[in-house]
Amino acid sequence: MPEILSPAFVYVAGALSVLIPWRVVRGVALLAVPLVALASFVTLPYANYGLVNIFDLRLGFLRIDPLSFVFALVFSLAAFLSLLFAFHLRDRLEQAASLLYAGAAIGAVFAADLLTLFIFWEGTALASVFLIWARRTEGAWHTGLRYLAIQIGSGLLLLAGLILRYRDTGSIAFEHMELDSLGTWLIFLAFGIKCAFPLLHNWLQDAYPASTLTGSVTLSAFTTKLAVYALARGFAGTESLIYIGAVMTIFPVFFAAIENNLRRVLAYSINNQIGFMVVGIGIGTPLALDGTVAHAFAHVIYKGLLFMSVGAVTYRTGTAKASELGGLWKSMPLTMAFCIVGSLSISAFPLFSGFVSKSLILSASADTGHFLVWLTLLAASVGVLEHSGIKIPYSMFFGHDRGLKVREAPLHMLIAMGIAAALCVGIGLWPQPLYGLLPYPVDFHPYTTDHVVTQLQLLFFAGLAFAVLIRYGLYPAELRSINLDFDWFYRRMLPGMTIVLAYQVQTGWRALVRAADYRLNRLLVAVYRTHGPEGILARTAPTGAMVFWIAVVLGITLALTYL
Amino acid sequence: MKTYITNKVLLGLGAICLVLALADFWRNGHGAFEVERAPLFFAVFGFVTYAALIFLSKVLRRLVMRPEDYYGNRATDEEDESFAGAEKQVSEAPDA
Repeated sequence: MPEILSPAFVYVAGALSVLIPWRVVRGVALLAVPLVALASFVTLPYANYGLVNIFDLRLGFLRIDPLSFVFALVFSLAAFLSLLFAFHLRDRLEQAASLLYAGAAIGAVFAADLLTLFIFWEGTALASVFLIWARRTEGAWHTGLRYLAIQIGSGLLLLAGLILRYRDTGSIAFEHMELDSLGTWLIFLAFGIKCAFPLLHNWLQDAYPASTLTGSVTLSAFTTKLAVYALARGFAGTESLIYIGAVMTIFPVFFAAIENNLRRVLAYSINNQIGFMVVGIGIGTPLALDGTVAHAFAHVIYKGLLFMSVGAVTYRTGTAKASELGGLWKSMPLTMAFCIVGSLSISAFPLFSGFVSKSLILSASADTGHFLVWLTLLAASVGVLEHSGIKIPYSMFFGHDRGLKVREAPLHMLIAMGIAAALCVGIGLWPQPLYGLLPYPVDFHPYTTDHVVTQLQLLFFAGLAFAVLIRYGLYPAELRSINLDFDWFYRRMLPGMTIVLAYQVQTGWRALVRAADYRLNRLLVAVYRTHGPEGILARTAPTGAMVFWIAVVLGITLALTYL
Repeated sequence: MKTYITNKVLLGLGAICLVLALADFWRNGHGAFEVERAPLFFAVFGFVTYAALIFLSKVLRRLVMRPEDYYGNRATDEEDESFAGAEKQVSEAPDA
């Protein structure tokens, strides 16, 4: 293993397989890459590999411990499923970008030092933007630029932070950090941007719906979960994360409820789910951290599944807008079944994966006595049910029948969704293998009578509220629209202010130039009047005049001498 | 327009909720907080939160909803999803 340093390089090498001209062979070769990369690290015992010394900097490319292993495992799985879902693609650019993106994310997870982390961190940004640009439209170009600016910005903060930290401590090891210096604050902020902290979150809702259908499945897995990993590794137990996370769980819920583009609904939903994980990191107890890791693991799968189902529907119908969809249960029954499995999982219904992972975080918040946080998470759970549990499947497969005549999703998409759905149910039914992978030993039993009953009460009574609201026409209608979010400030207000400012500067400058011009003209006219050809100083006087004036001066001199 | 939430569905859901409400008696009242032990706390909380969430969202919508072309050609909101790889092209939105 050390000879290839990191499984990331398997992906880099594997990306060359996009040169294979036959589409099916190429697709199979691409699918093999995550498997080969997985085989390269899955059997290694926990240790540090790939150690390199450069300029007295100790780099570690492959740190395998329980935390990095779980994330690398689920990233490999996500890479495989998203490539399978995209098996029909002909676009080599997107295929290469997917592999490099997944590879960079796995490389970042295994990085044992901040410099290696930084390299792969920027790698995820650079590779993933091509999943947006693969759309090849003007809108996608602009969206990609916004996305790239923010992602690269996050990387630069990380770089600045690690340099300051190196100066302070003399080490670039990626270990637990305290928020006690500018360097660590910058690193924290870099992680926060990628994690989509509140007010830093808009790149997510902006970019994911703009990427290709297959690209958004890939995008949903890596960037934010990489940030969760980085926070769990670097800032576990940082109290402010509890409150940041709690806010993250609740505010996207309202935006998701009124959003028309279902891929954007899912992007808001990522925000909300990451919030749960961030709370777990903030609490920082073994149970909470296990909850975060378990939830990240389950989340990658069910969120990928939901993006796949929306992607499959969009692939067939040509739209992801709730206002244009509905009544597809008859034409796409399998997609519907898989989508509902994803919805039940994310809503944490008993027997599904979200239930066995989210419970850990809720229990941890209750055990540590964070009552308001616990209440917020409970409310956010209702919110999840609203947008991902009900709205997504309901508006695509039921809702208003738009008379869309489409076929079931293609086979490879169904297989990808089927595997993801099977994993969602499998983890829900048998959580022990997942619990066994977690960093700390878990003694947690999700299936107690109390827990199952209370969770079902919460979900079914919320579902009843939905049914009542729909029945009496109080549920928000699906309207072709967009909603302003915080990104309005940098997409509208700041450019607007720049335009106004530019206009003012221009007007002011013009007035200044005009005034100066006028003054200069006046001066030149005055000079011309005296010095010009007709001016008094340009007159040619006769010699006699000079003699006369000399006589006058002499006369005055004489008079003054003798007086 | 056909609706999927008929009175039958509503009644069925109501029946499930009734059963779950009765199941409250089987709870043995563990829980870190006092309020968890209150009868039907989770049921009431679920129903009320859901309704409140929807009404608050509708208020939010009045503030932030804009037409789809708001960000113009610098966003993909108006673009056809065939660019994103959809096999079907929707040139004009089908009328609902």
